Amino acid sequence: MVTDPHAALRSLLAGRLHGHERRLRRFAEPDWRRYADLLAGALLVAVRRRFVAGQDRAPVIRFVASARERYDATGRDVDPAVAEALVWAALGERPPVPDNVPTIVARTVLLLGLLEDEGLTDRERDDVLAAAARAADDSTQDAEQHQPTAGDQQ
Amino acid sequence: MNPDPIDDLRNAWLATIAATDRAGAQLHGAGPPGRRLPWQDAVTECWRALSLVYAGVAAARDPAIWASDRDTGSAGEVLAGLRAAQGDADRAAALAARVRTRLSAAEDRLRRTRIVADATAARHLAAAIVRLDLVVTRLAVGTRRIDRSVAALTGAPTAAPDPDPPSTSATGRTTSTSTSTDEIARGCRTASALVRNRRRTHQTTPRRRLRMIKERPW
Repeated sequence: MVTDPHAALRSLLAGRLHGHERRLRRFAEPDWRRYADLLAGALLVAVRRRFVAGQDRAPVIRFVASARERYDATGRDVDPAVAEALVWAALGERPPVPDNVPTIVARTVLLLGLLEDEGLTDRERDDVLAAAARAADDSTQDAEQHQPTAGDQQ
Repeated sequence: MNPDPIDDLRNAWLATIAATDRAGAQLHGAGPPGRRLPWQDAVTECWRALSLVYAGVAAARDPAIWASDRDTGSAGEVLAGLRAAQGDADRAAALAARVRTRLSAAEDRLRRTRIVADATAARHLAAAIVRLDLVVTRLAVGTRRIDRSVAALTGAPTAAPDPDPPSTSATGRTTSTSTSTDEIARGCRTASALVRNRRRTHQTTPRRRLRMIKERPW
């Protein structure tokens, strides 16, 4: 079943900005969290389609520069250090980057850049989103398992 | 298409290498600025070669082909072919990157002469750089696909299962339980504004498009 956060991300990736923003306006608190998880999962899938752990730094630096060139006209909205850290974290070479405003912005721009470069069809894009949803579900389950219970704290 | 997908794949990589090599050689003695340069055709050839690569990859991923290969015991040959293709892909990407460096240097030189013809030539070079970047990107994506095919054949664990979800244990949690929804919302709105601005910058009205065509020097 396609949830609203899923549909919102799909609208963004398909370039339907009005639909994306309309859905964002309807989000409740759990929807924002789900959307952030889907975004993180989608970036994980997209990064691993193009880069591999242990590879040269240059292609990653070049990709981040190219994504910023496309989306960050002022040069102040996407932090290159955060963007590179997100790519390396997705490859498992660095610890996860804590979620905050610059991270969400960089994650969105990187995801759009990766998918645009690949030139995916609608179906391939849906496959990436489905894989992202599964990754988000898995990590949510992991988080719940690692969540300390009341008994643990006592 | 050749019945053996691996041969096609190899031929495609070799064509890409030849095309980028030729592009580099042509650029070395680039002719008068403003004239259409032969390496532009080489870039087009890169794209053509890349489409062959995709056809080869798609054929290599056909389960029927894998099944018949396993039945006839030729999995080793397929594996050798894929590994050779990986090597060719790496070489092609390295060559494309070298051509890109030369193009960038030439573009920079031409842009700074302040001559109109040079500025036009510089714009062509910039367009070629963008195309080469895409070629390199798609070579990288193709190589990852080959990695996954090799992993599927050897039964080795792969770093990027596709379309299966990637393991999050390697990267830690991707959940955002510790972040306030306000921060997520602000991040999403900022990102949305960036995408909207980009679209506005790149959109051309029909009238502007018509004017561009009329003003084009034929």
